[in-house]
Amino acid sequence: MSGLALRGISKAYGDNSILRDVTIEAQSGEFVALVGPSGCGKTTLLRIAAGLDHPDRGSVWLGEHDMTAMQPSARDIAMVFQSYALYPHLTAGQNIAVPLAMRNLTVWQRLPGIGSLLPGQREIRADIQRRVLETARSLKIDHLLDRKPGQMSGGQRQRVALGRALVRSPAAFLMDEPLSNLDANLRVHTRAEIVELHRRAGVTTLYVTHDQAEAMSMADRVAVMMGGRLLQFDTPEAIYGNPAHVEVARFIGSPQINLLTGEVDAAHGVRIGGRLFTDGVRVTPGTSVTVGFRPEAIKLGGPGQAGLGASVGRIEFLGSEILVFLELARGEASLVAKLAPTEATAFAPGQAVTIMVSSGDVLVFGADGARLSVSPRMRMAANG
Amino acid sequence: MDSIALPAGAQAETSDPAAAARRSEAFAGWRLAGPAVAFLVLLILLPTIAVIALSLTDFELGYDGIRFVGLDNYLELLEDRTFLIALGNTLTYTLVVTPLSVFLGLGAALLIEAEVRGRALFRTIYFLPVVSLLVAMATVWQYLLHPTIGPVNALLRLIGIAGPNWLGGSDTVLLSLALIGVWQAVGFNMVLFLAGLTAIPRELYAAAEVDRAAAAWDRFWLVTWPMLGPTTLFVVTISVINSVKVFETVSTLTQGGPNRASEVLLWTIYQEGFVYLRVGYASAMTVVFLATLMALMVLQYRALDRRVHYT
Repeated sequence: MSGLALRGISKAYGDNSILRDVTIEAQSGEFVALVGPSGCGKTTLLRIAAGLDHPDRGSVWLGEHDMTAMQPSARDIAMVFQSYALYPHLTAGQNIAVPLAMRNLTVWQRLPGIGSLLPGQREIRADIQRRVLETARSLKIDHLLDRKPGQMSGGQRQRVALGRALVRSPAAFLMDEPLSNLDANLRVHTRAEIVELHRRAGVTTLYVTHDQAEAMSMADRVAVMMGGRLLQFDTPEAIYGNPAHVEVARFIGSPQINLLTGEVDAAHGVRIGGRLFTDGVRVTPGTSVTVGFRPEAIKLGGPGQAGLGASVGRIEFLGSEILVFLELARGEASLVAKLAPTEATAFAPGQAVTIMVSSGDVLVFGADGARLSVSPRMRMAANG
Repeated sequence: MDSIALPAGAQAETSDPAAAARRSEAFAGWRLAGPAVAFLVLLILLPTIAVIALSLTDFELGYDGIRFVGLDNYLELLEDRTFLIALGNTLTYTLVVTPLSVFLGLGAALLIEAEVRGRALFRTIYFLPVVSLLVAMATVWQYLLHPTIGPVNALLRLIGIAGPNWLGGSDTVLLSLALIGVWQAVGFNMVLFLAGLTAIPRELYAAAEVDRAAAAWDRFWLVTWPMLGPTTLFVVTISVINSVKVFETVSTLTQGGPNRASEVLLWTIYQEGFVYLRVGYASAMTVVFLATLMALMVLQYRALDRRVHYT
């Protein structure tokens, strides 16, 4: 068992910079999700970890070993591909056996015909067969071993691909959007299974996905990437509640976080439409900032109360919760509030309401998107 | 909704609307396939039937009489030394040209695919023999292989070997023709293999690398060769057909000689039919030629198709 570290990775194709100085260190046994919109460089980073691509700068470490210059086959790393990349001419069982056959059998022993005459290969093959069956059982695909990929459903192929990665007991797992080709039901189901597999095997895992819900629900820590940069690498709770960058806040959470433009007043307070949202922001008075608050942070009240005036747009019923879409009275933005069904009964489309957010739930981001710390002491100092 | 629901009256008109729909669909199918079927019959089936019919007669171009002779032509074939030699020579030629052109074509395709630079250039160079006119290129080959002034023998002399009379000796003529055949076929096979190679998903190679297939050789066996299966089957088929059909080089360079050492099927058929004008007899040869090709194709597909994986 060993940790997997990507240190200071940069990669460019011509003038097109794919990765800029990305550092991600997964602890031994940790499940790390790389998440970001398509084109953010997460798959390239994974391919660099696998050795399929080479970084322009930076290094890849498995435990204490620098693997940067190693061939993929020399790294003790297994990978699950988005398209599964099963060998279509081999049965499920043969597919799963490939990594073991490649490692345990010599070139001559692998030859069809002649290979079966060579000494020692029978025992090795029996051992491979046993381990393939063991792995297949743990994935509940032992009845499919004689089928070819073309005769299997997407979910079954996905398991075979997992099996091929699992069978060799690697030091680290790399998964490239393994669930994106499954239908929604199967995806949620398999999500739980992969987490369970990881818990049992305890193997360090790098998991690439564009689906923030997948990343948040599965990973011990989440690395959010945008435009080739690592914006934040932290636990799901911290990523959600304490985003370091406005893009992280925007990307994580469904429905999206509400973002409004605010002004910093002379007393370092943030005002939207003249209304004070929070205070103690360490920026020059007069600059504009982005103010964010999660849909569940919104409290709705009747018109005329202390807060932002708005009118109710459409209302979406989601069962355990209700989404209320709101149009600001000044018409500059629409927001969404997540309410419990009992709270929401009071509102109907077209109704005038007041949006109230507790200052503790307000996140402030500077012009460059970076999170600004908010501390009330600053305000007191400024006042003093 | 009204337009979809069948009025009650309509059902009474046809006893079984489903059968009527099937009939009209079948009719539409035939109408769409009509032009292709017509051309198939007109251009392929009818001539073939005509050849089979002619092979049962003693028809000779320019003579009036035409007589049904049954299988006499075929019986004559069995004792015709020229025909039997042609059959044997064609077989030898095919056995040399097909494997060589297939494997050299694959090799060239793999080399070109592996190298990023100059891909288009090499592709063009290897493809040149395919687009060049073989009859014209035959003159070049005649010069190259000339026993006294030819560059090939001049090179051999440099290293102290007395080169043979390539196209003039009965031992070497078939081999020389086969080498020209390979030279011409490699480019075509290479292009087909290149197309097959580009169709192989890159992720399979990535998976093979991660699966510890470290050597290029391992990846070739694990991914390239099986994934090229359909392409290889097609290339082999085309190569066999083209080899069996060898004619231009024989016609321009050797005329079947010396001493019938390069007598091949198509050349013999051509001689009988268009030089001696024995159309009936030539037709019998053609039927044997066609039957041989068909048998080869059936055999090949039986043997290989099951082992080929189609994605």
